[in-house]
Amino acid sequence: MIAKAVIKRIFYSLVVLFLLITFLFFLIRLAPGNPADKFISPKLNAELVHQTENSFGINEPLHVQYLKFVSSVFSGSLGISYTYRIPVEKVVLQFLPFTVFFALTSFLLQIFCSVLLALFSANKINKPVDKLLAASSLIIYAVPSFFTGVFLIYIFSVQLNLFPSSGVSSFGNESFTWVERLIDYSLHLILPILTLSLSGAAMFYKYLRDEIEIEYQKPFVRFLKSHGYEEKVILRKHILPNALNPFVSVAGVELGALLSGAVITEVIFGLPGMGRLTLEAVLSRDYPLVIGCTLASGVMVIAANLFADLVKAFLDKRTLQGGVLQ
Amino acid sequence: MKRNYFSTGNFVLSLSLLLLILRYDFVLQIYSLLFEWCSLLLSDLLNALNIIDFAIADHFVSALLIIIIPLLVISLRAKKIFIEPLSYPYTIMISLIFVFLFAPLITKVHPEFQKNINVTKLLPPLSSVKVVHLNDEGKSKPYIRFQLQKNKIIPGSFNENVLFADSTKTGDDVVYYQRGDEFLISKKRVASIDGKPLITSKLFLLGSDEFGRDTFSRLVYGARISLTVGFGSVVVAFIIGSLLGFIAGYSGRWIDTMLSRLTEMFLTVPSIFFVILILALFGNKVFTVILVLGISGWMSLFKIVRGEIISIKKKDFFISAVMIGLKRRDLFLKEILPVIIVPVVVNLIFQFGNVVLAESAISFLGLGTGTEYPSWGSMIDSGRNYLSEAWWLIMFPGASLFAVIFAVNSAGRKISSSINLLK
Amino acid sequence: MKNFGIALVVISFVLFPSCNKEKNPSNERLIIAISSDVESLNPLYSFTYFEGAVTELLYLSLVQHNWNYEHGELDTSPMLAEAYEWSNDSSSIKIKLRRDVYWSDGEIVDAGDVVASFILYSHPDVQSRLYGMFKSFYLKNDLTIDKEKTFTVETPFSFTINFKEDSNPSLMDIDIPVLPGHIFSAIPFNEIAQKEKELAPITNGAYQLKTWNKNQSIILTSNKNSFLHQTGSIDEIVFSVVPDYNSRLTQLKNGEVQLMEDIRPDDAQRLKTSGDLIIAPIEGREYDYIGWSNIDMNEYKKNGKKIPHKIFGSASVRKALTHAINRVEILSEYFNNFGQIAVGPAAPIFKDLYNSSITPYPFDPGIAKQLLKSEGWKDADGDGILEKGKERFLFTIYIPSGNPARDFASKVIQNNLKAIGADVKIEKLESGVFFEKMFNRELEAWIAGWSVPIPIELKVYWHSNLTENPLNIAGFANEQADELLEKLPLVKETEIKNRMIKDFQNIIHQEEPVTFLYWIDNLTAHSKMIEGISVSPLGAVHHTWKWKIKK
Repeated sequence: MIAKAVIKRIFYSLVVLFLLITFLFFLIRLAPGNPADKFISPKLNAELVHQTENSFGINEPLHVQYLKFVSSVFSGSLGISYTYRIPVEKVVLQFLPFTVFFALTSFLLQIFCSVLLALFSANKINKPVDKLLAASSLIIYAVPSFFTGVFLIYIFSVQLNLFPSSGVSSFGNESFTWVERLIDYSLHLILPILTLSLSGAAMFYKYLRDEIEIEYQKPFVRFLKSHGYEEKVILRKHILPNALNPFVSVAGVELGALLSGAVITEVIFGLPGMGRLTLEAVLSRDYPLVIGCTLASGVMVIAANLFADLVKAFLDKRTLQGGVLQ
Repeated sequence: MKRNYFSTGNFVLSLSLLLLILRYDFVLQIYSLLFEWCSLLLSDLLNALNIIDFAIADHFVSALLIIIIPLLVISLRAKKIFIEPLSYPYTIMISLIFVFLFAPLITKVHPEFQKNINVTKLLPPLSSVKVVHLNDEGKSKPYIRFQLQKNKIIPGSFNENVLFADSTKTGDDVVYYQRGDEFLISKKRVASIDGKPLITSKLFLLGSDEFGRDTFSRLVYGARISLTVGFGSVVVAFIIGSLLGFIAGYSGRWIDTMLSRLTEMFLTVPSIFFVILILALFGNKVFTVILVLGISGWMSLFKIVRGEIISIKKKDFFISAVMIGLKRRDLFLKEILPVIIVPVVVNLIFQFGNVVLAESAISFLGLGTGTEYPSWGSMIDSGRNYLSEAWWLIMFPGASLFAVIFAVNSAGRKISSSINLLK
Repeated sequence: MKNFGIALVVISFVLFPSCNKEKNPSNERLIIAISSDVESLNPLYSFTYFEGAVTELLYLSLVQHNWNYEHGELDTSPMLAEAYEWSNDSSSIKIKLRRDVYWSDGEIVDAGDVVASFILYSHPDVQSRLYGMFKSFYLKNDLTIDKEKTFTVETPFSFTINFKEDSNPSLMDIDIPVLPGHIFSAIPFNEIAQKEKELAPITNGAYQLKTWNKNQSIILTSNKNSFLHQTGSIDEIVFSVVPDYNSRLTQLKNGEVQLMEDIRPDDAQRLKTSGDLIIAPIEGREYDYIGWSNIDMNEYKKNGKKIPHKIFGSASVRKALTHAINRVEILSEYFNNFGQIAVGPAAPIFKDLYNSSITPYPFDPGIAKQLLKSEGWKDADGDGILEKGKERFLFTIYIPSGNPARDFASKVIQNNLKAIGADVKIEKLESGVFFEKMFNRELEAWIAGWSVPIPIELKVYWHSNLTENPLNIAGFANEQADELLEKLPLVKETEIKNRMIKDFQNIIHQEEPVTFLYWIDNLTAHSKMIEGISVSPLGAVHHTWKWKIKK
């Protein structure tokens, strides 16, 4: 039964993805600017310019281009990237692993911190500690990520010289031992992950804490308390699963966004991820690559949302098993 | 009812009063200009209409509003509006709107004005420079009196009749110093008051940037851009989202499914990609930015409106209203609107915060509203290059951004939590 | 859980010292920061400045250059060619190749490679960037070099090149990187563009390619078998891709990279005082200018007729505009005087041909207004904007995005021009869109720059035949100038050439087709530990095999 629902979801998502790339295709073609410009030195004469443009297929009528595009997608290829001159899939696969790793690490960190803090404040709601945490989380959430990134680089990299300011690894790290390499990566990634995770963790924390607060207000809690259930048990078995439900949806959306590539953080820290790839592809009018990147990000978002829904279903089942009245 | 002295209305009044006191002479000058223009209007209609431009209109409107608004507030106070107690979000929002409306009065310096960069470049907050006023006789004068007045009163982005200097010495001639170099200018060329050469000083309240432009002035006018973009995008998102949501919720199956799929499509890609894509492809005029940010945000509004309408449709009071035969328009105004307005407003408030943030992010990436008007995001972007020597270039726009977003978010939270409690 | 976290933090702090490995350059490695990855490492397709720097290390050309400061010109000397001799009438050159150069796959470099290279560069199917540029050679109809007429191969290491009659050839015509003929001749020409991406490059230069991590780094290792290799040559040269300017700068300051170019003038000023870096400018290779469309663009595009632009068609107006702009202020305030006011397209570094008697038009709004008045531009209604009859002195200056120098200049220029009565708007276009419009003659005023090639080229930028010379975007037309430009390629004596170029500069100065702004120094910084480096107009990353690192 669940399998059927999942398959239906996937089918719908594929349709949506297809609509998306069609939309993009026409959008890009309608825009001014010409990718062939990069490859045409102004000294070339008009005939050669024409030839180069033809090799990009720009001069063909729009519907012909679209049909060609659709047929190539269905045969499994997304075309050749103009800037990299290798198939788009290969380019995306080069950058995807880093983004997945980066996003997952940041995501886990965000979840970890926010859930811990939310649980910590669960039984101290509206006490001074909680108020302080709530206020600071709002403040952290309001600071733009590019600000945080620049600020962190300034303090830790420029002034204190503790962490490297960009890149993923130092050179010659092939000659490092396994442990040294791990530490090298960590040093390079501490500041970016911090930048990326701070505002997300603040948002998660506040959200979960608010949901917990709402649950606490509900009548059934008083009912359970009056029947002698312990505070901790109430929290774990009854409040938490309910509060987690909307939280998981939000987390899923955020995971999807992270997996699509965090453009600003990647730009500030010079990281080889999908965000930067997409940005550069757009700026250099590399149509096939833009469509490939968008497709990849779409798939990520859909997968993340699907995963979140599965987690929710799992939680619901547990709640049902626990036999709680709601 | 006990009078609360720290009310929003009183806040508006005190701000207006403060401004009037500080700028009373300037306001009077603007009124005399306005009077001048009105008489021109009566004598030479065509010319009068031609001569008006945005800066002049701006000043006129601000000068009029500074009198009208306090009067309005006082009269509304009697009707029990504007008596809510002040809180942090309200303070910020009111200050913002105030800055938006009265920018020309708050700062008399044009945001793009720069001169003598060697003297005015990268000055820290609270620095001042000497201003030598030059005599403008002998230069050709415009023959319309209005024009003459206007040039004197309304600040422009350039000014031939002043000189900036680090310090001056007056003897037989006027000697001024610009970054160590000494220059001489004859007394005849300098304007004078009571026989003494006219040398004043100019204060850079929040410092200056790499062009010697006044940061305070840019911050004030930059607020206009951030607010315009924020407000405009929210309006766009509201129109698209609620219209589509209404159609989807009201019409039923087929259209609903289609529109929902469309929404999903937009949600699949993180909005920042869409924004970057469209700005990079179609240019970055202010109008495009507003449109694009509005388009990236209508989805959540759609869901809310659609959800509410669907649930209302099922409700008893609605079905009975339909059965009674109330007209569509009445249905909408009396039954639907009151229910959806609150969650919609909350969503719009959050959307506003997001848009202001997004606008600064795209300015940071270099895709912002262009060189014409300063925006806080572009101020941060260019200030980034001077991080170590001119912290004020980033600090003030950054702090303003932060204050706005924080206020917006807490206002939104307040309202939404009070709704939740009611539920 | 918490304890684990604390332990992790402690461990990383303890192991810090070992991670300062990259702070000092060692004999093993030198890291150069570049702003974006190169697209191709094959000289057939490499376009940009850094692509050229990398291919210079990988592939040898027949000749090499050094910069002659005294005369301001290139000193060419043998590289792959051991010796060369021109015939008496200078229509052919006999070349003797070195016998000790090998490709990285072991094959020896011989005349066959040279001949094959020329064919590859000139063949239309290959679509090389040099296609169509071999004007001094005998060509077939499709512009491929005619092998039979051009090359006479006597032995694998000695051959003669016969140039086209009356073509005035020079050593610059044979200055192309030599490719491995045995590799490329085996691939059908029209597939080379696609396939070369997959091939591991076979090179013969002082360095060879170790790895190319796309968008991250290009790592080259020293070719110990090369005759250019010296003891103490740097073992590994890394080009590190760091797209963000501020990150590059931070890495330079930290010592994570040892060389960086295109440093902003304010930053260069500050770096000077920091101690372990040397700031050196690459002078005279780029200049910025304000382009005024001398002709009415719409009329030209519709009917092909050239009529003067209603505002910018007059030389007096253009001179007035130049007088109105405070170039000195921009140069000192933005560029910190790293540069020089420009009076024409000939760079001052070309000492022998630069006309030093030309003085720049001084900043004088008074003269500007006079000139405009004499052309009929008056402010009749006193609104501060000049008019000439019904025409208002109103125009938009376009600038491309991504160039902070032009952002700065445009603001000062706008205010300068408003002060003389011009209603000027500045509009920034995304750079791709900007250049497309500029080349299409859709802009009536714009700020852009040119990178000047060595040796100097003038005709293609300033000759009035606009179809043949599409880079003359301003539409400048002057009979005497045209004559000089047409005669120039045929002149062989340097003295006469230089005199003609000086005359040309005079004409340009009189006509002021565009407002020349300034020659911009490309500011570079490198670690003090690098010896043997010389930053000349040819670049900073040049003859890298001569560099050594001080211990």
